[in-house]
Amino acid sequence: MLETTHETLIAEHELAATPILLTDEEVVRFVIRGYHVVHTDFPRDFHQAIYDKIGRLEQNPGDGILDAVPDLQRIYAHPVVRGALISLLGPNFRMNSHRHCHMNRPGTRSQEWHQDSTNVRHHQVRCVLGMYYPQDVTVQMGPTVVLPGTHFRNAPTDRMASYANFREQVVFDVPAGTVAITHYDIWHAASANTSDKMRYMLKFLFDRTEEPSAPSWNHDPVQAAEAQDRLLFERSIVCSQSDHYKERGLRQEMWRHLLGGS
Amino acid sequence: MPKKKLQRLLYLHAATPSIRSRVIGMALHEPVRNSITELNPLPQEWPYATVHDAILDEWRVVQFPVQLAPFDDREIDILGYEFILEKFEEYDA
Repeated sequence: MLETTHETLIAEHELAATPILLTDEEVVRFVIRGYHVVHTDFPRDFHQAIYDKIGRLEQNPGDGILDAVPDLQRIYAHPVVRGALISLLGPNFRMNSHRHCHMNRPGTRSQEWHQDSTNVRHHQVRCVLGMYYPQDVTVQMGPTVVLPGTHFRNAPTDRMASYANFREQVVFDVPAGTVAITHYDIWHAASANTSDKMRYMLKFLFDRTEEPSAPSWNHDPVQAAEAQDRLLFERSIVCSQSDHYKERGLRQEMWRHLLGGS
Repeated sequence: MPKKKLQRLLYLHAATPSIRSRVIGMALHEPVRNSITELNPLPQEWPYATVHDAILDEWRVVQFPVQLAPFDDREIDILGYEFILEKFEEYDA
């Protein structure tokens, strides 16, 4: 699950704690909306220390951010984060070697809506983003914005260039210590930072390493039966009826895969 | 200062190709140098619930969405149907 002994030692306390797994309802909600937000309960000073340490870096270390700021390992080993990752990716998930510290400086304009990588979408949960915010993020500080349900949409980013705002976009104006776990394919963007404060977002990727053979969350077949009805009837965002019918099918595929089916 | 009429552009993304379906996305481009149109995380006003509402407010549709659906029964891609509307208004030259 974790890459090196050094990193494991740093997060020893967190790893010793029992991971807090998601419920059926939370997993269903992730399938429908494509994200799940958790909050680590470290003291504010801990997040502030991470924020300050990043601020002292002479340059963005790219994939080397974990070496530069080792306490980040504790964030991703926290029981609520690890529990969510186990629930969505299985007990042997792996932290990807690619990670990045996104620095949204004051005065920066918004990004355009995009999906990461190229258009090879499989509609399974094989990779998630873990976006950690070491500072409070106000709406003025250029929060990340996501569009629920779009992890099922296979859209070339240049086809999104004429979009600006969606009625049902979700803004991550969140307190320090929040980790937003999103499906890799969800449409997202950093918005404009109109404040006078730098906004950091640590984006780490986590991969599934094995096919699910059983639910890896806090699964209760009775609750699951109730929750999975939402796959058919709940709207993530307003869209055409024909899109919604297809979305329902894709949700069921994702859910069945997570349950351990084919 | 002299005035001249310039074209405002309004992209409305509607749930279906019908001008009476719900607007789900919007991008307004003002004919002002250095103006920007971008993702705004602040709560916003949505002046038009439908494309029809915008027409009643004197916006003129200049491009309708193409209705040639891919007829793929599994995959979904871009969101909404894009209408482009224009309105000419006077601006300082």
